[in-house]
Amino acid sequence: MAIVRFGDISCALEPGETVLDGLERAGASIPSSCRVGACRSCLVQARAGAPTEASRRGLRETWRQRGYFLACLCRPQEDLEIALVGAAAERPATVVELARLSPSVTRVRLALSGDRSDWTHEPGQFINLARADGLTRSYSLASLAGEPLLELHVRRMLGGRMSTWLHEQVRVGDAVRVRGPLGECFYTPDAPDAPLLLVGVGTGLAPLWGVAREALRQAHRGPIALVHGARDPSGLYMRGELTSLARATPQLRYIASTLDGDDDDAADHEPIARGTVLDHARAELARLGAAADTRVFLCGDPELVKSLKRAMFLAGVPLRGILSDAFVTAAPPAPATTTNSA
Amino acid sequence: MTSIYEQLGGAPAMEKAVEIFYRKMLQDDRVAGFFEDVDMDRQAAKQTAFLTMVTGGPNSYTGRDMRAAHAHLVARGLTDLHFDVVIGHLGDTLAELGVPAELIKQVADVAESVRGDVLGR
Ligand SMILES: Cc1cc2nc3c(=O)[nH]c(=O)nc-3n(C[C@H](O)[C@H](O)[C@H](O)COP(=O)(O)OP(=O)(O)OC[C@H]3O[C@@H](n4cnc5c(N)ncnc54)[C@H](O)[C@@H]3O)c2cc1C
Ligand code: HEM
Ligand code: FES
Repeated sequence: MAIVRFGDISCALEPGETVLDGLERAGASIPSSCRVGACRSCLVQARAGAPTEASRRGLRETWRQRGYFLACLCRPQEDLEIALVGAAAERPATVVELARLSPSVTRVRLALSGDRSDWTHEPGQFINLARADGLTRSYSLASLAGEPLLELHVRRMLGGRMSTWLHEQVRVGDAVRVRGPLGECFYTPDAPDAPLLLVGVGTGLAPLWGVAREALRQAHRGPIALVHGARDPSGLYMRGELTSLARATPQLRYIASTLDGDDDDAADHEPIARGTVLDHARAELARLGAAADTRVFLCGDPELVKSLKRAMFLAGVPLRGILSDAFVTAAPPAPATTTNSA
Repeated sequence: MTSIYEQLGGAPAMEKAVEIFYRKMLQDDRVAGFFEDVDMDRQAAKQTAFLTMVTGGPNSYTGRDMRAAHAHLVARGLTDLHFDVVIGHLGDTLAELGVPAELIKQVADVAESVRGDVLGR
């Protein structure tokens, strides 16, 4: 049975137990959020012993070489001694602006404290935002690297700890901490003529708003389609900004789609397209041209991201052409769905 | 003798083959269920391992590994029928890539050789 040591805490893991679960059981405090390898809050370093391959998959090479791994995915066979890695990369920041973009979405703008000359991010990457008490959650960056403030779009989730706090309690001037930037869901200028299909549901728009503007800033030449989906019109936001940008930019199409509900003020907005975001994504993919050359960005609700990914792949987009961020929440996983295989 | 893996073009060609093969599997209701719940990128990596193995490329899998890798699928009802479907898609994939029939036969023979292990017999 593997022994895990962290500071003065030492813990013998139960069979099948993760390093994160074991250390928490032993009273240690390790940052975590999703517990399934999506948010990278629980990134730790092995000082002695080898972490499992499964807990290192997808981490960049320099991190692997330093022994970094995700504590929530590691069920080690051998003893490990670990240390936190976040402290060095963690920066203090201040909430400087709060704006309600829709009944369920708040825009949070943060200023990094002190010298930010060594900060750089790609729009679409995410940060791990920590509150004073240590609660940590991931939020995608909607702002460009050159803009002075970090911009987040936070959807309010019923009973959600961080999102409720950011909607109701937080005040301008409050101190938070930021780790990152993380993630690979961002624009790269290596294929300036490629069609870009950006599909987001809910606050999945945040990274896409960043990606779209970054692509235009880098003079991307290929056509761009941005599909923003929500259940009903109240879930859509920034329609004014997106409509203006699309009207001023012939290569950009903006599709706001909802399943149902009345469109109250269509005059200065693109009208809402009815139907599922999946159908709109397929239609836009076909309109954009060669699926094999298209770069697809998918962000938001994990189940939708998963079905979109599959649909885009089956429609001919290579896996390497699909970038996605599933907004995995810390809620306990739903029971496994049955399959039609038997 | 060069392996079919090398004749196809090695690792870069595998990526293309995996895309074709994986699309066929996901679109076939008889086997898609086995691939439903797994992360697509991880799954693609395993398909690469599968294709590399059956085309004679570099791999270190043993029969015991195949037994272990598929045991949870056998528990979910993996049978000869599914195995035959996979061999069929494998052949079609290679045919689309221009591999001649006699080489496809060789690949199918390699796959056949692990049937018992995959099905846990
Ligand atoms: C890479 C990444 C990027 C992300 N980007 C964004 C973004 O840009 N914008 C955004 O809004 N979100 C984003 N998220 C999601 C975000 O990190 C948070 O998960 C989200 O804000 C909810 O956090 P919370 O603390 O409010 O909710 P939590 O307190 O963590 O709860 C989450 C949900 O689960 C429910 N729940 C909690 N515990 C239980 C339980 N025991 N049983 C049943 N239900 C339970 C809650 O009611 C709530 O609805 C991202 C996530 C990831 C992984
Ligand atoms: C033809 C003979 C077959 C060979 C040589 C083969 C080979 C492999 C290999 C090498 C792996 C990766 C193992 C790992 O690294 O974990 C794998 C995994 C897998 N195989 Fe096969 N396979 C065969 C048949 C099948 C069949 C018939 C099915 C189902 C229809 C199947 C479904 C899967 C699945 C779902 C996985 C992933 C399991 C996981 O996620 O852990 N395989 N196979
Ligand atoms: S990656 Fe481990 S908690 Fe999210």
